[in-house]
Amino acid sequence: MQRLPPCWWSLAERVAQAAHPFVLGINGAQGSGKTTLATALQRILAQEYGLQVAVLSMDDVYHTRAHRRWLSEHIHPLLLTRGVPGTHDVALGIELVRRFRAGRHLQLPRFDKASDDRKLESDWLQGPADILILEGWCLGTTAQSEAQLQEPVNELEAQQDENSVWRGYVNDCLSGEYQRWFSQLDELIMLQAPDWETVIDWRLEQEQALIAGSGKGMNRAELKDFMLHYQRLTQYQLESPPERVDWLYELDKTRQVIAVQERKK
Amino acid sequence: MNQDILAELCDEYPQQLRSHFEIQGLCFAVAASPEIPPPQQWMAWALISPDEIDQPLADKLAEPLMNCFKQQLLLMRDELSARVLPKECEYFQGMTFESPLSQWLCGCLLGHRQLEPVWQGAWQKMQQQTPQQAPEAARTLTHTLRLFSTFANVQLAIEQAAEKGNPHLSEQLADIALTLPRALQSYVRLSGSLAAYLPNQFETFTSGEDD
Repeated sequence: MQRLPPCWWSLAERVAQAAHPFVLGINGAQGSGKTTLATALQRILAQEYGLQVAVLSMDDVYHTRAHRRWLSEHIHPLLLTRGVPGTHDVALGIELVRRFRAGRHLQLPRFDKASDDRKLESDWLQGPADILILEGWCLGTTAQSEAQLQEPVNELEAQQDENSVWRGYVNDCLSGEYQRWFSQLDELIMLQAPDWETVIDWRLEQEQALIAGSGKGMNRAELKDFMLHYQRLTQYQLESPPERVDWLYELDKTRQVIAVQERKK
Repeated sequence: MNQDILAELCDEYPQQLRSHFEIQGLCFAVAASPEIPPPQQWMAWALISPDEIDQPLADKLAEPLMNCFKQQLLLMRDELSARVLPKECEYFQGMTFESPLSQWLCGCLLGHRQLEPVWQGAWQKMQQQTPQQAPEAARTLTHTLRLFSTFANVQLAIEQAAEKGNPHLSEQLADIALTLPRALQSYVRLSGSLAAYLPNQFETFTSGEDD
């Protein structure tokens, strides 16, 4: 905990001093360190300030595999792959934030990436909690314009989404219920990666850790294909961070914070 | 659009209002009652603590609540009662209390509990007038409510089933959940049958004589 950069201590102090209940959002591309930061903040806020902190990832509310199969059969085959807007149970996400704000107990769902499905056991959190940290790679993002959707950004879109059905659906979802969910954030910070290639490298590191731990995972080529699903929105966010980001933390390739920018609204 | 307004109010006032899905389930129960209570009565059930509501919220709430109620009535009138469950309300393994399906059914059961005297009154009249139909009606209602309770709190249902000697309920739930739309239809149909035994206010109304 001592090795935590000063900027994260400032963030913890700011959140601790805010009126509670408080919802902090962490946006950052895959592998940028969102989960590590959320866990560190949770520990600091509990140990240094005596606050009870709940952590929820957007990943935890992915639709079940059965539901994504249904989406893939009825809307577009690419929706079987979890991750993009449209593959989350947003209604559940909204209700969890609502119940947190009302000071109630929470049953926090958890997602098992190895089985690609929701875990049967949830985490019980005795309410009221003071702070909810919500993290996700597209948290706070807004929809793209029709013009932006026209051109495919990679071979996946060009070959498997020729008629823009998949990206159109993802965009529609993002402009709808997701915005209601994101509007529940009291503060949103963004961990900004240097570029798309770095994001793939970071995500590969995670995958290698997963392989080391469970024996299962993707190799670099498989991972690059997998990451094509997220390229559009990741690059969109890297080029133009969401309007509602309050604090932007610029990272270098080693995930060190090289600049902090408070964005005035 | 009206549903959006109600949903946003629920997000904005989490300490005063029940969840959006809970309110939709509540409105379903009200609309499906053998005798629909006046709005000032049922609207208060959408609040966690009716005594603590402030007037500005009450003013904002009335119209979207009424629209939600009308929406449920419309679905029933069109005999779409199997489709009253919003698309988000689906069962999945490991479902928690916060899930839309649980929330919707909690609202429905809340409404039913509030309206129990109406259901009982109608059932008693059925028992007096056509006693041979009353046992079947009671069985249908008991079964339906038990089903709703199961999915309103799945973990509790699994624990209770295990205590009663069925440790396999969790494996059976996915199949049982498929019967929910039919159960909702039965609930609406039963209410319609019971309503026929209640005095029709227009038939029993007699115009006052001049004093």
